Amino acid sequence: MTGYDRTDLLLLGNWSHTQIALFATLALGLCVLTWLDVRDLPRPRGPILVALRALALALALALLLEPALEQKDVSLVRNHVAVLVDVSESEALPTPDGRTRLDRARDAVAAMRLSPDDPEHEFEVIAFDDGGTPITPTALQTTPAAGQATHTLETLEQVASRLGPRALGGVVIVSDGIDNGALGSRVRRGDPLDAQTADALQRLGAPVHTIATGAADELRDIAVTAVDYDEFAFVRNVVAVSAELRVLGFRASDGDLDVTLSRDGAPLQTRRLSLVDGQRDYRVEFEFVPEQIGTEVYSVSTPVRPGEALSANNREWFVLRVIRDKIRALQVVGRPSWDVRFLRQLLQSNPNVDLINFFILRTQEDVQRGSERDLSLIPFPTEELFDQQLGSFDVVIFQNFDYGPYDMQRYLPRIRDYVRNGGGFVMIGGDRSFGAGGYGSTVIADLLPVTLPASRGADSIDLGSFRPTLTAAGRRHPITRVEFDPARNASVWDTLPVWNGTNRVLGPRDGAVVLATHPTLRGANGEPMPVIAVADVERGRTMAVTSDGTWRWSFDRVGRGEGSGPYSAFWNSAIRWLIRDPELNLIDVAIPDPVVELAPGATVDLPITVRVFEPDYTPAAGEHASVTISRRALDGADGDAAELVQQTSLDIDDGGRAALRLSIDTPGAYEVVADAPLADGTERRDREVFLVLPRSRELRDIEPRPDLLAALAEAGGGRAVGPHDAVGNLEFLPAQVEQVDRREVVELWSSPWTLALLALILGGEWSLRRRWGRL
Amino acid sequence: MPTLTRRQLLAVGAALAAAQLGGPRRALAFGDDEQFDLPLIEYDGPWSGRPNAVRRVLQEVEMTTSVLVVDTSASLPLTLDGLLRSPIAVLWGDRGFAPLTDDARTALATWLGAGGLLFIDGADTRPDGDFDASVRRELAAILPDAPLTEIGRDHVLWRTFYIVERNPGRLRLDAPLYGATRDDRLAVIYSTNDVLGAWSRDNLGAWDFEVVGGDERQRDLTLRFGVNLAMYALCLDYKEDQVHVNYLLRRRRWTVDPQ
Repeated sequence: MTGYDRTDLLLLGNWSHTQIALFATLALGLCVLTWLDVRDLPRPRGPILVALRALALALALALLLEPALEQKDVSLVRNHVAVLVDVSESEALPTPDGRTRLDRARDAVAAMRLSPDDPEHEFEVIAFDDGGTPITPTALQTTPAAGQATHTLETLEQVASRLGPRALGGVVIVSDGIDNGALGSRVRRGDPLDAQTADALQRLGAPVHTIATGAADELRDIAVTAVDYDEFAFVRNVVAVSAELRVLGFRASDGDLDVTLSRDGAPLQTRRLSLVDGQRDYRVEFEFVPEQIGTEVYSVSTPVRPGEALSANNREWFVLRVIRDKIRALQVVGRPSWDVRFLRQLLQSNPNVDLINFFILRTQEDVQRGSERDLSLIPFPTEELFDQQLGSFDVVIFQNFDYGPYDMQRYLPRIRDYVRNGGGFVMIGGDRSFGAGGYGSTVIADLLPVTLPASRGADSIDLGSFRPTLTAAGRRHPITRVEFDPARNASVWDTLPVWNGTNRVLGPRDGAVVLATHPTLRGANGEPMPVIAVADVERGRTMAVTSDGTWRWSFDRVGRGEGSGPYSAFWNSAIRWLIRDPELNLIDVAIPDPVVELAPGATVDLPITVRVFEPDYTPAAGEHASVTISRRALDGADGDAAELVQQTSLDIDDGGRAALRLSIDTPGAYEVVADAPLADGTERRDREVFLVLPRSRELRDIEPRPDLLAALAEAGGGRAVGPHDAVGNLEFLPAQVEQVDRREVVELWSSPWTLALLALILGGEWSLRRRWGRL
Repeated sequence: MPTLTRRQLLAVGAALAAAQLGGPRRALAFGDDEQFDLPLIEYDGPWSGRPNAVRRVLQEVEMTTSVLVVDTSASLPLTLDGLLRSPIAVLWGDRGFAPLTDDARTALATWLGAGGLLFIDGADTRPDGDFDASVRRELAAILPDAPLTEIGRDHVLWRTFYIVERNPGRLRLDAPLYGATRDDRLAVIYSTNDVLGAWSRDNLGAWDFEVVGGDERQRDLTLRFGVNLAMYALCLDYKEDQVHVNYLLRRRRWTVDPQ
């Protein structure tokens, strides 16, 4: 039995504890019966027989239990110590001593003197960012800090899962404490460690030590940490954008801080922040009014100051989609009429239209009964509507309104400018409209799609009833296509209620599209006189309806059970066309998403689609569209020139479409401009913008969190080592698992001497019983 | 030959003066079909008992407002084609009338649905007399989902042009006015107080009917109500938001407040 480290007694009999207890009880009972049987014998005969019986029963019981000796050689198994070293991008940031945080981590690992020959612990160095990878301490010296995320807890769980039932002797986390995984989202800066994380650490059953590679007070940095904004903004409505900034390492004496909101690389607003000693978080509010619908790239930025740890976080980008909440319509009416009432009713019932009316209910020519106090009238607010608020409307409707009596002459140029700058304008007929309203000699005549006689005259109105005749363009144009099916549309127009009279016009102006004409009246050029016409006027659009009879399309048709479809379709489409509803644009650039995320080293293919139509909304088949794609760098300054990425000419197919795929491998603010000028040189252009952002959010927050690491160490029962502390001796659990190297089992019960001894005892008892007369 | 009172004589003078002031202003206007009329509905009953009323109130509308009115008011047969000649019509009576035919009821219901406005004026001696019973019977059949309710003083009808602070009509002072609403507008306006009687004036300018108690202020107020009725028909609740234009513009925050 020599040469073994340890000897243990085994019972090889396959008996349960209950069975063994039963056997022992049985043996004890037999002993008691024996005593009752022999108790009358003189001493020492009785006790001798009882002792012999007890000895025999004990020996039989031992044989039943099959005792054996286990002899073995054992040795300790080393437990596992995981050293997690953060190699995310934030570890590449410099520290005041000129070295990076990762350099500090490497030093800390070296100071731990991780010996492969340690008798109790097997050390494993794991480089981690969004997951862990085992590496050698030597490889750690050259591993770059390039990870795009820091997921500490997830990596810890991954290591524990990989170890399985193997013993964990301890964990060492070497990091700056910035976590953008579960830990960071659960424990915000300044919050205590949450119970869930503490439980997870305690379940490890081993000490968790932490070594901080950075300190908060040694960082000098200004960062735009967040921008709050609504993803959608409403055109011509105030948009509020607020930015959160974190200023570390700068004091009031370093001067004020300018924060700039920029749109498409051009500064929009700048707010000046006065730094306060001891204050690190600031909030800046911006308010502005977007004037155009569409997607724009915005940024909030601060200038980069000397000594900042990172310049990339001084600017935060975002995309704002400016949409129309409601169409703001101004209906100005010269005199109440049924045409006025039905149009007002239609626009009011449209939930997408925000309607402001102004009706001239009486003029200076009208008799006034009673005093002004008896009248529920207010002065015509010309200045308010046409000077101060004109730009806030999407479309202005002049319905049988003459400007003359209301000192409006001086506002007409403003209306012209409003249209040129993108406003919509429609004039509807009546005895105070077009030439009869005296517009022939005003700047309004330059806007209208029809030309007017220079002066008012008795022949400016024709009182004959007629039904408008659609032109070829009118059959396709969205305004006059009141039914999708062309044949049905033509049929509807052929049966619409007639108009009782029209303003006379000379003809269409250059570039106008005539949608419907008078069946008999001719313009100055001998062509049928336009009664519905539209025109583009620079960035705006205008429309002329020379009669006041469209209301009949609602009243008469509904009365006859035919529905008001043509009336509502006509006017709703007209409003949408006038405001340049994107769905009715002649050219449209479409991209799937305004924000694209790009993984490091990856390439994204972005489909870009262009649709092009003629002014009458037929597809511009066979034509070409020039597409120019440019990019501005995300870390550039306001005013930096955009870099040309691609310029190409696309063939437009029969459906009016053209497409290309843009291969993107560089983050930036991209702009796509599609040009397809009309034959007469009129601009037909659309643009879209989109952001390509690096997928990593690692550098959004670069302030070290040694406090979080300390909380982890406390919850994990370990020690927190600061960035300037000596690592010293970190304690881990001693190795407890043993490994059996050699083993031998010696059975005690199977020896013939055991049986002989039993036979001898039983024989002796029988012999004595016989001699003492107890058989 | 009726004798003119001093008051009637003054009224004739005022009317002539007003007519002169109004003058012909319609040379360029579009056709009559587009202009405002307040036509009486022809039904099986005494519909034409106030033949001079409509002409008088139309004259008032044209004289005091920018609305163009028809030269001659033409009554409407109670058929769909007849009703579709005008989005507003007047049903007058002073006694009960026989139930309307199904076609007439259907025509009225369709016309109201298309945007028509029916002004009913009763001249029965009792406000809850036979005419009232007939009207309520017909409206229950024509607009079963739009019960008649009293038009409150906060309704825009009382300030579409004039600020009218008392209910109109000649038989009783301040008799209530009822309305039935459809599509967020009054489709029916119902008076039991002979409004047309207060409007009615002969060719010489004399009032055809006395106003209760000889209160000419009530007549003037009833004429003003006629103008308001025309304005409501043509502008609906325009006055409701028109007086708030500035407020609306600012409430919608279309500008950035100066900082």
